Amino acid sequence: MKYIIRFKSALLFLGLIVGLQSSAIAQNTITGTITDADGQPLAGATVVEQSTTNGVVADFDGNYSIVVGDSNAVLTFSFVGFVTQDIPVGARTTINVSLQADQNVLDEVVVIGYGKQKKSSLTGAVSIIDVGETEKSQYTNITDRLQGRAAGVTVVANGEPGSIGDIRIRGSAFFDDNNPLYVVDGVILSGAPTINPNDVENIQILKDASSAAIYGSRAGNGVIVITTKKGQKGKLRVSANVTTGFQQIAEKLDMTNAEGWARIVRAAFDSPNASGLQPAHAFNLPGIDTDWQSEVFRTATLQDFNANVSGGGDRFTVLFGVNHTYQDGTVPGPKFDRSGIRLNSSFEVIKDRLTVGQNVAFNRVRLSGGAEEDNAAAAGLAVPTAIDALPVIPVFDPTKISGYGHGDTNNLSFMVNPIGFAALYKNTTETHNILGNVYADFTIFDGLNYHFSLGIERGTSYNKLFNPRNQIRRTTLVGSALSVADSEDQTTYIEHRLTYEKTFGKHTFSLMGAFNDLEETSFGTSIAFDNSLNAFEAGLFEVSAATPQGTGIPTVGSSRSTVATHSLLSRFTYDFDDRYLLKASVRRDSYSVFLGENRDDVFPSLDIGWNVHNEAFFNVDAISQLKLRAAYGEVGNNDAGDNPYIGTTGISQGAGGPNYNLGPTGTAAAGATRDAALGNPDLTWARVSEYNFGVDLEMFNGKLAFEGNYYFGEVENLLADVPVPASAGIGFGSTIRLNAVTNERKGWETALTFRKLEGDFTYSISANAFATETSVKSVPAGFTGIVGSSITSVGSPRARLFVWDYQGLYTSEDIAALPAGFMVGEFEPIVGDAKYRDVNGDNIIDQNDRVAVGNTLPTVNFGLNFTAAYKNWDFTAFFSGLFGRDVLNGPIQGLHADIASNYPANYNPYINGVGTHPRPQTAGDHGNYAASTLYVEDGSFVKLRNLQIGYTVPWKDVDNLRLFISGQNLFTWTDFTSIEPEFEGGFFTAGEAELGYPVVRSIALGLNVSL
Amino acid sequence: MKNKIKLVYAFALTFSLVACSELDQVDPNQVSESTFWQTESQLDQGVIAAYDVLQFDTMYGQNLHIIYSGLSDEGTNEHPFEFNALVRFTLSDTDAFGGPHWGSNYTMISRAYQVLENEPRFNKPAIAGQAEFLIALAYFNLVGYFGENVAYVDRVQNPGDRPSTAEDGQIYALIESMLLSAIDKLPLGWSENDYGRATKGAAQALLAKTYFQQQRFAEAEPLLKAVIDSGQYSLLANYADNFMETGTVNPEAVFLVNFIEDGPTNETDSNRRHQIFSVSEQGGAFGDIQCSNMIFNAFNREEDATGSKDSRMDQTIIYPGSELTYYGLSGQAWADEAPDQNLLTGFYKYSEQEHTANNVDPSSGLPTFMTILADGGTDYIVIRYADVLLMYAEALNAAGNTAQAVTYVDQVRARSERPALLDAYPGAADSQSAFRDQLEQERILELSGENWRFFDLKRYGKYNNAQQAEDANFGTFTDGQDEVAGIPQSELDTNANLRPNQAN
Repeated sequence: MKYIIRFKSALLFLGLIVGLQSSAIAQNTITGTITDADGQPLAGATVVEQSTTNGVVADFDGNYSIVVGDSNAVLTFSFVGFVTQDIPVGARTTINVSLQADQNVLDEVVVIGYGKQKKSSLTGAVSIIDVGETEKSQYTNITDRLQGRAAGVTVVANGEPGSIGDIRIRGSAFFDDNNPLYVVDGVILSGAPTINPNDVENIQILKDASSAAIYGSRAGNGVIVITTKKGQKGKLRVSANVTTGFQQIAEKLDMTNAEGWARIVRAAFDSPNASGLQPAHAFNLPGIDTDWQSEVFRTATLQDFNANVSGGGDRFTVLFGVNHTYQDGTVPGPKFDRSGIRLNSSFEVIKDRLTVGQNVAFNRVRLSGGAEEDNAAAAGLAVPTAIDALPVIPVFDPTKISGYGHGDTNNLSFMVNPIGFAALYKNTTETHNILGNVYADFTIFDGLNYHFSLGIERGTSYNKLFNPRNQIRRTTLVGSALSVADSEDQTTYIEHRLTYEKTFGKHTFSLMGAFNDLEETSFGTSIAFDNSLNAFEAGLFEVSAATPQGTGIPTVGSSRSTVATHSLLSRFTYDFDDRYLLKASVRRDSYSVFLGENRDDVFPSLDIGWNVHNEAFFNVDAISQLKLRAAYGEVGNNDAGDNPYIGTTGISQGAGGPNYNLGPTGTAAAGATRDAALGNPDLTWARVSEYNFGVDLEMFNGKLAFEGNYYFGEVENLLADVPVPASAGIGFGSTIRLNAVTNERKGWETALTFRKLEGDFTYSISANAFATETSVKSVPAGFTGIVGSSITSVGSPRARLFVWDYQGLYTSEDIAALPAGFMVGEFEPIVGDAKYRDVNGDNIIDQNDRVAVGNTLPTVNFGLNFTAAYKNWDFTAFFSGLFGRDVLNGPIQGLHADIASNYPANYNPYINGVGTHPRPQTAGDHGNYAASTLYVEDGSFVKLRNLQIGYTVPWKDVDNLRLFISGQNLFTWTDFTSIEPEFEGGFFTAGEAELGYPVVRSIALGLNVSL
Repeated sequence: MKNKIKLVYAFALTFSLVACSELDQVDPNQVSESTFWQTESQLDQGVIAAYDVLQFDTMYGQNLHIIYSGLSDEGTNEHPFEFNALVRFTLSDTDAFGGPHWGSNYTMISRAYQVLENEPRFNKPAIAGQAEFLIALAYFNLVGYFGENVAYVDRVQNPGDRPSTAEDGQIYALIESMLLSAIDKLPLGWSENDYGRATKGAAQALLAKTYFQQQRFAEAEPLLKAVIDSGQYSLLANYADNFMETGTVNPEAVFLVNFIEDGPTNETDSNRRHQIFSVSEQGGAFGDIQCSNMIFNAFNREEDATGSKDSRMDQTIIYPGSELTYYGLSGQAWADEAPDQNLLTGFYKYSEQEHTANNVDPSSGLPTFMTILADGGTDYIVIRYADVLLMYAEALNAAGNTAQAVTYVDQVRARSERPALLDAYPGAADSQSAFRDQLEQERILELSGENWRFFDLKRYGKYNNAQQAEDANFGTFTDGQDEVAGIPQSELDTNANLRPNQAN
């Protein structure tokens, strides 16, 4: 304020001098208020008298005052994000201006990593996320909210509270780690951010290798650049959002009842080769008919609250926020509870020269009720258990030790009672996360800026798992157990950066150079007791020297790992007359995990772009932008597995190790030898090199925008577990990680937006469509690419299904015509058995008769968002899905195959000459329910992700008050016959459907208020 | 303003103090190859790790017994799966036995070479000698199963190493050089605490066996003589004590695999042989390997010749008419359970009866193995002194000293109160070949169920289709192919320097 006053005083003083020199020149003082279309003052908007250097800045209330030469003067009013207006002064002394929001986002500034760039100058493939739309989602993390929002980006989220979905940018190029790099406020994270998604101001996704190359060896899966909300200069703002609703599993899978199950099991045993134990209940129904899905699936509550206060003065901005999210489970199991605070502020310590600030978020996440990860009743498995559990087993069974029904050996039941599990296994994890940075921006001289940032990402996690002595599975009597584990993960990020930007004439260039130091440290301690004594049984879960420690041997452990990365990077951009664009970058990473000369590597990029619309010869009024661009970049993937010391071979020793016995009674003698997991000191980064060609088109002043990308490239040095000959002395079937495989990847992405923002009725449509195909180009010896029921062979798209070719049921004529000795597996087929094509003609249906079928990579993925508003009402409908994906329906196959699980209601096996599915079978394998083309289905689906109707209450005392009702995942359109067509699958098994925690449907009411 | 400038300096200072991270990181969580091998004790731990392989399920803990009995005319089964393919010589190259057998023996070789490559810094020849012995034993077992053309590994392997196929004679030469070196380095015996380690006698006996398989009897003779003359070994008074969990030093064991008494604990592996070799599948035992009638017939010949039953018969097999019970049931009761009524015998030797005698489930009346599943603590004798005596007799006979050879056979017979050889079989020493034939019978009586019949058949030139006279399984033996097992297909897939053998 003081400076503005001084400036104004100076102007006045100058004006006086001028006035004294020539009283003939008229002097006008113009005052007024600059607001946006809603009448909100635009603090900091500028007013400049054209063709002069005379200018002022509007104050916090949008008020300005400027002295102009005469009535011929023209004032230019401008503000970032608004359409600039030129207004002739004329005779007026008061000019109030309402600036219109700029629909033409060409001048939008985009955060691209280590700096910003005008959107019109972008030359790579960068998706700019409409954060306002993502805020309509009920997903509790920012990753899931990106679902369907950007071309080339897929997210498979599930309904498990607290889980973060699988996000893929341009598909899965790597065998293991296909997760993108996240950067929040410039800080490189070690994983997905746990911050409150409502804290996010904007998100850019760097998709192609060129855009991502500035992040070098971590950017192989693309980069998600997130900037959190900051305070704005001007008046104090308070805003709050409250949402409350409920969730449920959208679909049940119709199953048979006890009678139906028993009928099929009895038929299975009524065959010549039936073998194994007969489930007693199938022959003597117990009069129990449990609908397990109804018992297990439940309606769960969902609550979200967040509020923030923001504002700023002349020399500072601040935003303070609080948030709380609670999500219960739709099956017995985990509950998610997150509370957080955020404080982002900046201080202009020296006007126009030095700004310092910080962005920091703290949160506490409590996850309770989850299961031990390796336990059969882990949360996600409650769903498959509810589906396949036998109806003859009761939920509660007083005759069992635990009081929960779980079947028995006579009934071949292997189920873990999910309701009993949730009741008996106390599992809580409390995590405290800090994410943020402090920074300084120092302008050394005009155009040259130094930026420093010190970032911290820290998570401390405390897990406790306790179970009493119990039996909720068959004969498995589980002793009581208590385990406590503490872990701390800390990333320290240091960045020094110099940026020089200069424009002279038609030439604009920038040169940036930076140094990064990233240190990632993990610590862990754990303690576990088995067969703990009564203290634990009684609920005393803490351990002290006085605690009776059970009869088992307590196990304790600690671990620590440190990984360091040093990086030097530079980027040069050049722009001639906003017509010809050039970008080049280079990054050199040094990574502690890799050894010797493999430690350092360089990741370059080079782009060119051409803004055709700025050429003199281009004269199409309707087209406001036409840009052609080409980019090449190289990025790496530093994933070498969980062990950061993979370059060295460990020594195997200790309990359970290579020990022997000496002496007549065999006394233990300790041994030690090289570990079977051989280290590989030659490991290095897998590297993506990719070309991206794109076009950007905007028409009708930004109403219609189109973006398209085509890309292709290679992934070299891919890490694969390659079989090591057993002659190496580490056992039979051992593998070692090698940089051994080369993949190819290609794909296309399009995004189209149409907006009509004038008038009472406004609407916009955003659509994206894309597809990616990855195939394996070269592999080492011994690498088959056959995983599960899928095959990845050189030259074909990855993960084709590799199954028997089902040809219907054997008729008696078929059987009579079979050559002598014809076998399916180990049995001669009989009438009603599944008939498979004998591909190699050897009269035995075996592994060699599998055929590669289907395309498990979607031919197109899409997202479609429609929003409309009429006066105070607004409406959103958001769809996403995929087409052209062939899927192996393993869940249904498994249900058909197993006499010890329930059968789907539409299962119609061949019994007594009637039925369309193959004859039911016992464990003796006629191959009737093997993976075959019988279970290959069209996995296409469309989901209505979000449907929202809002009403903005016209109330003068608040800036905004909006009520809404929102539904998420309300409908799914699919022909797929299991309950969830949406799943990620692995690199090699992309088409093998799984049955985990499905996507859940939610309905919520909400309130947005700001004042 | 001054204050702000100070603030700037303070910031600058703070930021410049932020330390740089360290790129050279050492794994703090475990000892690595580069930090281990610093002390003599660690060198000895290395050789202990090589011994550990002997206990693997894929070695003397289980599979070797299956392989050697199944592939000889001793063992058979009616099992539907791989076990049956094994005994009928119809295993595929990706079988359940070849891969693990290959892998385990090369693991023992690798572990032993780690010791050999580090030993020179400590100059501990007794440790090096043990490693050399174990390398030789591993190769002996590899050659036994796969023939001589296995991968030639003579050092610790790097992940990129792809060893070549050994030519004929190369592996035997390697075994010979290892054992000659080990004989120089190993002591005659160890203190009681170290009982179980390889001795000079063990190396000599194993080298003699290696020479035997190459028909080099003259070179074996002095080695066997040295073992006998060492004074370290003697026959136990009671034959049966060799196969029981006695917990004492056994002077008849030249080399044994030491399983823990009443094992196992976390620190050791147990011997599962008794579960696999049980008569039939009962109470947790698998009943995978039965006896062929070859052994039964041999004992009957002895009884016919001498007029008295050989006391070793009941200790070797369970059969209708045995005076012993097998898990509380008579031989006849077991024969009634036999899946093939043409095969009424099972192995009795090493069956851990002493822990479970009369352990019958009262409700079913059937024997239960449940209490012994976790045991398997009987030491397995790889080379027994009685075998050394019989081998010496064979070597003497080969050199023409048949008369002298008879005395060593009689030592073995006398311990089991058998009549002297020439009393029972007056013509047995009439010729070299007659004696060799009689010696085959003596070896069956003494050593059946101890895995040597397989090697004996090969040495006698009887490992061929014609042996179906003794064991019907040899009816599916293809001469020129089944003398060896195929190199595991996965090894061929991953190592281009390895070539298939006749059985692939």
